[in-house]
Amino acid sequence: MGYGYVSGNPLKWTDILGLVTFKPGPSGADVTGLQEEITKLYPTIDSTYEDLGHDEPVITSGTDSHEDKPGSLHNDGLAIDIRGNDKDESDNKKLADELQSRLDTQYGDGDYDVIFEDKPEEYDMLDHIHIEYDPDVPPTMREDMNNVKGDAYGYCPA
Amino acid sequence: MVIVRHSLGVLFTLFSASGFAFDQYLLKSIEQFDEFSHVAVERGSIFSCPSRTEECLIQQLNENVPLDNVDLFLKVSPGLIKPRFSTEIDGVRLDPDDELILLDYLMEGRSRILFEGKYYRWKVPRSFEKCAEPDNDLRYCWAELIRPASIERWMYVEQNHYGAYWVPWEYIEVLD
Repeated sequence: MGYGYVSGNPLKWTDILGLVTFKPGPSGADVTGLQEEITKLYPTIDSTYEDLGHDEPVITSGTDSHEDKPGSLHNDGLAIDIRGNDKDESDNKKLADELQSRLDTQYGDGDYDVIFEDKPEEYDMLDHIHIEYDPDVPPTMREDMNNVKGDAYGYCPA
Repeated sequence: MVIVRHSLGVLFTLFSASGFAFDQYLLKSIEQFDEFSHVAVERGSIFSCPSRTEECLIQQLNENVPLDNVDLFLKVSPGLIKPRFSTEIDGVRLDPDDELILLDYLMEGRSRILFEGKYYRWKVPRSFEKCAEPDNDLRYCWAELIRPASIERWMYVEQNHYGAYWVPWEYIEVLD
């Protein structure tokens, strides 16, 4: 499928912090419009992959290719996709869980959402880990939740 | 009767006759399928409608059948979710008694939701495990999953010898 690493052609890649060894995806993922909420995560993402024994993460999508998905945070520079088609399902899940845990610890619960997009078998080449800055649990929702009497839904009272 | 409605740029076809349950949707989903232009029916059965019921069964296939025109549909048996508490999302007031229809997964954590005749793209739990923990994620767990959605992929095929028919995705062999 021609999905080898293509570090020789980082047409649109910009390592804003100069700290990481990310590589752009095969078609040159557009990362130029990514906002700080995402770019500041690079060191954490990079170290997570390294700590779990994986090669450096490859961004396969930044602000590109989501124009037809209204509401996608990619369009706002607040989401990236990282290649998952070079790993099995178990490794991708572990990476996603670990990333979620580290981002929650570092930046607080609820700011970032990490999702392993596990495609059906015949679409394995599209597997990826999606990371987005989505702190959009409105404060009113937490108030709404706290107004629920008792713990019928298993929530811990705030 | 076949009702076709357009929403969110996607074609929904709601079948209410011909052996389909009224609450089942067919969702045309060709975006990824565009990558596979050559396929064949590898084995199994062909159907006159996207249902494995006997009345839809046309015949069994014993050999590979090349396909001329193909399209991929998701058959969605809608799920059901309910708000756990009164709240508001995207300007929509929601209360615990409201019933939200859970349809397909749209990626990036979001699902297609049908509520009071309108479609929304919200984060909700699609499995019971998602919100099982006490410290569950309010992005998803503002809603309680009552019944998961069931999704099957079917291909609609037009082939000169056989005419038009439906084939479950697992009977398809991708040739390229």
